[in-house]
Amino acid sequence: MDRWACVNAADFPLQVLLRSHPDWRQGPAALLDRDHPQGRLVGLNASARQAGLSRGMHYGEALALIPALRAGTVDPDQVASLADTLAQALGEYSPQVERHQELPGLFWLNASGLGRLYPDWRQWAGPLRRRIFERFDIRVTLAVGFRRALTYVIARTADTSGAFDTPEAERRAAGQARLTALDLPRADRELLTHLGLHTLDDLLALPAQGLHRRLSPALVELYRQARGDRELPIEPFTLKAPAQVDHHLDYAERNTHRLLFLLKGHLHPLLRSLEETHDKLVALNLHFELDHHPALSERIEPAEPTLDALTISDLIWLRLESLELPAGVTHLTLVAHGERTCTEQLRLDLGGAARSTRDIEAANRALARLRAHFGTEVVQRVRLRQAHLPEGRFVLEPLPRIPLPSPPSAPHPQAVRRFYPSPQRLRSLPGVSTRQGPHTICGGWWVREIHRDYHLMVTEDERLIWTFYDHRRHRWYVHAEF
Amino acid sequence: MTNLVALPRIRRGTELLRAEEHARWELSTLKGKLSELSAQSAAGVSIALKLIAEAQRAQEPTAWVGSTARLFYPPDAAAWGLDWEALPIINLAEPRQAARAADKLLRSGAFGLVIVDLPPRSFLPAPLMGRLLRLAETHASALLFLSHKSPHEDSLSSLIALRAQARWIRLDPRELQAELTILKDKCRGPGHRLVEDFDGPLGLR
Repeated sequence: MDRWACVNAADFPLQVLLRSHPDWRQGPAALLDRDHPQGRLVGLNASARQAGLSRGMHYGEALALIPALRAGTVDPDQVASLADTLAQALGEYSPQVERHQELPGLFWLNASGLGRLYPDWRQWAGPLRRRIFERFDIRVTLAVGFRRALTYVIARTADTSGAFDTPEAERRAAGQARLTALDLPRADRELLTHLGLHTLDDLLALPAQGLHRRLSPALVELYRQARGDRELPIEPFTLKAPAQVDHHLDYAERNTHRLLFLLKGHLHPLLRSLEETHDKLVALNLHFELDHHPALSERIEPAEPTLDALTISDLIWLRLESLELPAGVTHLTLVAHGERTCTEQLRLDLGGAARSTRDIEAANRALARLRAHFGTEVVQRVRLRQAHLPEGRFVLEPLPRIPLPSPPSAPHPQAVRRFYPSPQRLRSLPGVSTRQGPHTICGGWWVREIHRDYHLMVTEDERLIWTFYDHRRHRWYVHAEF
Repeated sequence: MTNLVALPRIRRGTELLRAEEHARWELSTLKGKLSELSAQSAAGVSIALKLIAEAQRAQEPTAWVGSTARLFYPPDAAAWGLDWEALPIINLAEPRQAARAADKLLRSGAFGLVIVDLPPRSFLPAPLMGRLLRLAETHASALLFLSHKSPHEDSLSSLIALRAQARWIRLDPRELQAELTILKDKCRGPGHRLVEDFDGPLGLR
């Protein structure tokens, strides 16, 4: 009979946050869904829970109750990346590791063969937990059993690790698990409470007939898996390693032409290796180790996934051209990141709406060249957002591709200000012929208090400026002008 | 002998030309040329945004090249109904770098309008301007430089075909009126004036 171990890192995103802020562990700490006073608490450490805070509270509300509260957000990519690293580390214990698709801190290990090596599960589970804590600063619990679904239920609802000697013992322990502690949608949890179904045993006591008409698909799936009607096959975790080439130079090379030819020599094998796995290149990382100088890293991103060596060489050349090497290169590394190729359907022209005469792919190639020449952060786009402060009402973010323009609405002729994200200080107020205001903006007490009085002023030299008086600094600033 | 001009429906050739005598400040006039819109205020920004809106309606890709430390205020420009996904902002403050970026954009032949927002007292070398002009002509693209200068100062280069000076003539925060004075027009001659009306920012109307 197969043996399964479910490894659970409780409140995994919060643990990731606390890794970045180890000093927060001593006091109440929380994870927010967004960094804003209206952001909600989605994870709490023991101190925060003991202090009376609960999930779903607004950050501002919680901070008013516990001024010592420390809270922050984590980048989902950072969480996913650490989950991948953990899955890789677990792969050292078992050849079959599965990472839960939606819960980043949950893994299954096929522990079937380990019983022959270790007579007692504690002999391998204990060191595993310790090693994960030492290497990643992440606390995990394990449930070793016979069925994946039941080990999941036990691992998510129990606070301690444990193993079951018989399937019956596992079934009994899982049956006592509280359903509200599982990762079910809120509507499902409310339905279960309404129906008086508190434990897994209560759920499994329901007749199977017509269940799908009364319960949500997620609950029906849990019911089937817990009963053993449907045991899902394992989906082993595999981390696709990027194709990489290293080249050690016997001498320190400063000539960018010669470096280009060296890089081009490695480009074709890299592209061939991507082609063999049906991938196309989405990014190429260049790492230069310099002679007695800190190393340099550059990233090249084509406009679209490609296997065209000429396009990549062109972008590498643009990057090298603008690079000022302080010393010769002694070692270079190329890392090619690929993406699964998708076949693009050719556009069918049915003679409908008039099409643009411009080639948008050429536009994207030009933007990729700009990124290669001036740096990836140079090409940006505007994203409007709701915010309190004028400078917060838009953000500039990287623009990977542009489509053909399709303006959403009819234009309205409105005057547009020239805006200074860093306001310009006024030594003294200019002579003013007309003034409108003040329009007061204040807030930000939770981070940095702001109190500004905005005015629109027509100056005597016929300029229309948007100024504010900063009550904290007692100074006037120009924020924009017409 | 009958005087042809005296006949009804017959007009002098010069009168026929009169309709095209003055440049209209729109994308079709600026295509294939290097143009400069100078101002001592930010009046040129509103006029440039109007051109972007016009280009986007015609499905012409556009780009804004300039420093984001003195960018237009996007919440104001939202009223122009722009497609932000299709408007790359190339954050380059140094004039030569900005012009080189414009070179790469125009060279692709994919952009109908490129606006280069230059800081005060900018200078661009003639060979670079020559290249830009040739690319604008080849691809029928409009390249507009926004500059900060008075009408008495010289244009950026002798290769600028059309230069206008923008200034506000009505500064009521609810309704603004900009005047464009054509200082240089290699096709039709200078001296013409155009007036554009704009609403003030939301919250003040």
